Amino acid sequence: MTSSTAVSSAPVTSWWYGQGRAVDVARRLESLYALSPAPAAPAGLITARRDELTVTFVAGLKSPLPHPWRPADSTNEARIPWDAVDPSLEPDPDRPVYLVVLGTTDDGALIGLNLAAFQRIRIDGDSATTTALVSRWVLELLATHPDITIGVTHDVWRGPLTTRVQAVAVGRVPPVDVLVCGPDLTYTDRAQIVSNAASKIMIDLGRDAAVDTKWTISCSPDRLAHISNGVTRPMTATLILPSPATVERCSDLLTDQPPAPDEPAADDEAPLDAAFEADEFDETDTDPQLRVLTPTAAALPDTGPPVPDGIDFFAPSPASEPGDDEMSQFPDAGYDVDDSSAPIPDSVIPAAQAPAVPPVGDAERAVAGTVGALQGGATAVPGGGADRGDDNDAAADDSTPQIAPIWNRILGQVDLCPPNSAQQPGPREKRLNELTVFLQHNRFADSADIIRGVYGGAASDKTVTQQVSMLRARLGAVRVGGPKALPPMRDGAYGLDSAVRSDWMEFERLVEILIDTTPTANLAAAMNLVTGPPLGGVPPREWAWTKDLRDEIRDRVAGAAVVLARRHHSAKKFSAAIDIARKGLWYDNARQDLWQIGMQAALDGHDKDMFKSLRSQYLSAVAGSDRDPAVLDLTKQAG
Amino acid sequence: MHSITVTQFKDDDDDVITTAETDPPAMSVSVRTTGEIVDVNASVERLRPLGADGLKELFVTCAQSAFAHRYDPLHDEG
Repeated sequence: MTSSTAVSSAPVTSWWYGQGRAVDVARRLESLYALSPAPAAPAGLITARRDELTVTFVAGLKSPLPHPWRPADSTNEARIPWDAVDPSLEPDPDRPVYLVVLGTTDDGALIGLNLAAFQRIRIDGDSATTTALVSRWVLELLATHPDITIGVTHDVWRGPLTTRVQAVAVGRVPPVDVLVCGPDLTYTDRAQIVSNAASKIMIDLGRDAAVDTKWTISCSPDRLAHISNGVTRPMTATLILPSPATVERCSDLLTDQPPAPDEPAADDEAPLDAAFEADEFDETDTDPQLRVLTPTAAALPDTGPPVPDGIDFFAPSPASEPGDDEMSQFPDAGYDVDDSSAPIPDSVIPAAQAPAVPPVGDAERAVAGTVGALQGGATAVPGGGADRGDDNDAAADDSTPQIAPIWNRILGQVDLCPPNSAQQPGPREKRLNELTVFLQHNRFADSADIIRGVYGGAASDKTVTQQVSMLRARLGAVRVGGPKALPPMRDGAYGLDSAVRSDWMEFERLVEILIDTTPTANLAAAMNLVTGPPLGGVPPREWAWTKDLRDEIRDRVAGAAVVLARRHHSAKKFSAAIDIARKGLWYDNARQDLWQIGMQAALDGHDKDMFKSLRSQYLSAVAGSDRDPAVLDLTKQAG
Repeated sequence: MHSITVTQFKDDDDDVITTAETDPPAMSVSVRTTGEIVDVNASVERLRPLGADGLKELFVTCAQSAFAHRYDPLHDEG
């Protein structure tokens, strides 16, 4: 622990809220997913300083992120200057960022948390402090995500309770996006609540963790907090805490009112923001460069629209505000942000997956992309608002997710299968396959990129031109009579139409970042796309540029297989569990959890032959020293 | 025994690419109108039984076929 002192938070928070830095950070975190390959783990913590942002990932990076990201002190971190990301980058509805502020550091940086990366987080320590912190998060999440629902126990949130902030108690666990269990509940009560909850994000304030978490925030009464996963060095922050009076007054804003569709939400931005600034922090030593609102300016307008969109981090500037129609469309769930330019045709997406956000106020439309994802993922939980009241998980899982037309396969034997092509495979099929995959993962690649990646640096521009031309002919049109799937070079680069989707891209669309929160129907549909070992027919020494992609595919498919196999096992579908576990083992046969669930399912399903087969495969695939004792015990069970 | 098929197509630069490929497919050679070779495709498993001499013969034949049949823009204009 360092000798942190409680520094003034006002300049930092003013800079954060008042100057739109929160939006900037959200954009930067979203831009991470446009990288190829994207970081293996989501960004969990951010440290915002004047000149740059440091992002701490929840797991170490396998390789340094490309420019303009810069390496930082540890492999878990990367830095980026403020001006390095396109501010008009659209949010990716598949990869939401739920940013809340934790506190400030001694050197004036601000630490924020992306709750989406943690999924389960524990906050322990002084209960007055933890309660105040989480109360502010409730306000902050409500303000930034107009459609979020939060369930919270009475010991943390005394009210008001609305459709978006709902009471949680033993025997009453509403289906909310974020669940908060307070510190005054007994372990048994909290455990019961947690076991009945299906929330994507759970925050446990209890002294004994009812939620299985890796990350813990420890708070002390002097407003210092340490956040750590027990492995990396703890990060210390001075918490920014509202007084109970502030929470009480701000919470009045949250009382549900009839929607006011034509009310400009921008007017709301200052009051709540200002309320935080002026009432929580009495410091007057503000940095003159920063805008700090005076208490007078911060007075809440009694006549103001009572919608709770006070701090709308995600409201675009007028110049960049998209058209109304654009936001009411299905948020494209493509592989990366570039896909947003060409949504998947409506015909392939079930209507139930359309964003559940009704077209109300402008502000809500402006955040529809992010919010749609928050409501369970644009593609994950069909139904949205109407289904929200349904406690039954199975109801959400019943509908089978639709799969966009697959143009090429890499989750099995590599195959190019353009749906509208009149051309049969020729002698260059493998190369055309490789070019397709390359262009899918390197949006807008120029000849030099292709030569470097696909040809190992040894080819002429002419060769690229010739082969890309062949690929264009092979892929054909996006639809009958439609434009070419591979348009001619534009601005010196080639870019595939976003309709050209691989089985892997669809897999990634179906499976959420946090695999555990992905609906079973989506996982099943995703695993159905897996037809064999990855990049079948292409040895690793070929297509050398796919190394990172192979790693990512391995981790994601094996990870999804574990989760789905466990769910099948829990549902006593032993045969299905075995099949899925075996598919996962195609991708990573060093994963003990896959062997374990596969063998357990074979045992419980009384499939002795399968058990023996898996056991012998396990014993030959996993070296003695690497064997997990629990799995090894399992191999001896039906010996 | 391989026969050789010659095909042509126009690439993004409006160059006509002439490709000579064997049937059954084992090797293909593509040339521009200038005669410059822009692409060679060889199927290792199908060519290995032919040995070095067979490979050489097949390559030269393909390249010659493509070269001889390459599209000649001057001829077209004349």
